[in-house]
Amino acid sequence: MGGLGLIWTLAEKDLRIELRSRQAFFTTLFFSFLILMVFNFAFDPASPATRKAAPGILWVALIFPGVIQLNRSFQSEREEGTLLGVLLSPMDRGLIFFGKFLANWIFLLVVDLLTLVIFMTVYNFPLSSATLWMLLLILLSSLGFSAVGTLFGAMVSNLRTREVLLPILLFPIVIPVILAAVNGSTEVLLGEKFRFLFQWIKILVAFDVIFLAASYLVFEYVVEES
Amino acid sequence: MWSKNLDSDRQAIRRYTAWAGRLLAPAYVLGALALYAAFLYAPTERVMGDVQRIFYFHVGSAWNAFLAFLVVFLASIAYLKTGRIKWDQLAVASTEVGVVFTTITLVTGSIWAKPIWFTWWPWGDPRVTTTLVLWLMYVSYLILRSSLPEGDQKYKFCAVLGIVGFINVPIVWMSIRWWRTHHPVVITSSGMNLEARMVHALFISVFAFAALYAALLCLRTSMRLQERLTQEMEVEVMAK
Amino acid sequence: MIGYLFAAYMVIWTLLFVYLLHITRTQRRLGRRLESLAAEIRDRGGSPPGSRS
Repeated sequence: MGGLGLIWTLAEKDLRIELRSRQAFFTTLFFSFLILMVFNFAFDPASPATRKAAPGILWVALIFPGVIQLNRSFQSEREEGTLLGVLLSPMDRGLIFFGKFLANWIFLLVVDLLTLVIFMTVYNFPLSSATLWMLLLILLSSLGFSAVGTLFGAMVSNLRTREVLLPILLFPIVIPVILAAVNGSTEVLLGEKFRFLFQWIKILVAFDVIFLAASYLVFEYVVEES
Repeated sequence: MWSKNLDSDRQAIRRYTAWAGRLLAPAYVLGALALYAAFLYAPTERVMGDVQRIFYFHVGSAWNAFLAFLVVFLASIAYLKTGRIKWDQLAVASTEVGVVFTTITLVTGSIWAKPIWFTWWPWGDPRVTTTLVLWLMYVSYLILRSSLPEGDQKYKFCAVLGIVGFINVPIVWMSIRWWRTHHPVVITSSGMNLEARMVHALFISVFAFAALYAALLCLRTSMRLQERLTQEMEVEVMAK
Repeated sequence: MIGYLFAAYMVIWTLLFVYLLHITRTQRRLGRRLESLAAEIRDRGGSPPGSRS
């Protein structure tokens, strides 16, 4: 079995666990939905100012539930002791990173896409060709988010304060992703001319490449059992 | 693990303490010179007036905060490569001093922005906002540090964060610059014309902060190593 | 205007002072720990490492 096969085997294991219980999936999705609703009640949905801020609201609804998912990703592994089994297998630690990352990314993508559908319905954004750009933005930003998140999730997984520690570590690092995603989707959703969209996509791609590589390189130091 | 490196770590303590002592006097003298240069030697800026004199210490601490985080980055790599505790202690000492300097930079920047741009927080300036993100990242480093149990794992995690945080800086910088370019920016600090004497004052102040940084770094590293050594000896004595 | 200049340098001064205070307190705590450690060693009939010089 090649490296890619191993990565997929690991990711498939995680995804199958998620698929079996489905509880975590619906909880995360419901949390996203709740955030959208809370913002809808907090700001007047009919006012144009809320509409201008809507892309920001969408990304808050994507990021906060994302942190919860990343926290769970390693927590169950530690609790069940399955991580030790994975670590004992004669496998490059970097491949383990890619396996966990892939599972997180796919999970987040599914939740994010469903949230996007709910968002566009609730905030009355018409389905158009521009929506395809939204898909690209979600694809790229959730990639960077899960890369750093998988690394930090592994770090905090056996700490008592992990629930609060993970966002504290993650949010400052992903500020470029948030900036790029929110500003990019503002252009896409509010039908402005695409003046800066490609710059934002470039930022996202740069972040993704750099942090996938960096997380892959340092991952072995955060999972060593000591 | 510790006792193997005991002698070399004792040497490191002695070296760092000696350097801290050696650097304190130059830091003091340069600091006094920098005060003189900022308040008396440098001419008053024509547009902003005397408030502009904040600039010298503001930039002095900003540049050295950045230097401090570069040291964190390099020491973190050295720690992961060698596993030697002194590198970890150097990294965390540098983070600490860097956060103090960044705090100085942010607060003085904010005070300077109020009379010049009529706002306490100049979001229009990408440098100030990038510094804010730096501050957030390294404060989270210190929070992580305080919440991990003592041991190799703690040092490794912190080293990872020290590396990941630093390589993020260029991306943060680019994204914030582009973010602000679509919003109207009234004035940026780059429009300032620096006379020769102002440049001199700036550099004296940068060197003063550099000397202060070096002295504090050596002092904190030596103290941290001593603390570890004490802890090791306590464990050893209690076990007997 | 000069008030802002004063405030800025006051902040620098205060922050550095607070940091130095923090360092001093840490150092004092460390000193106490070392003293009690040396006393413990002497109680057990040994001689603490620093005492031979």
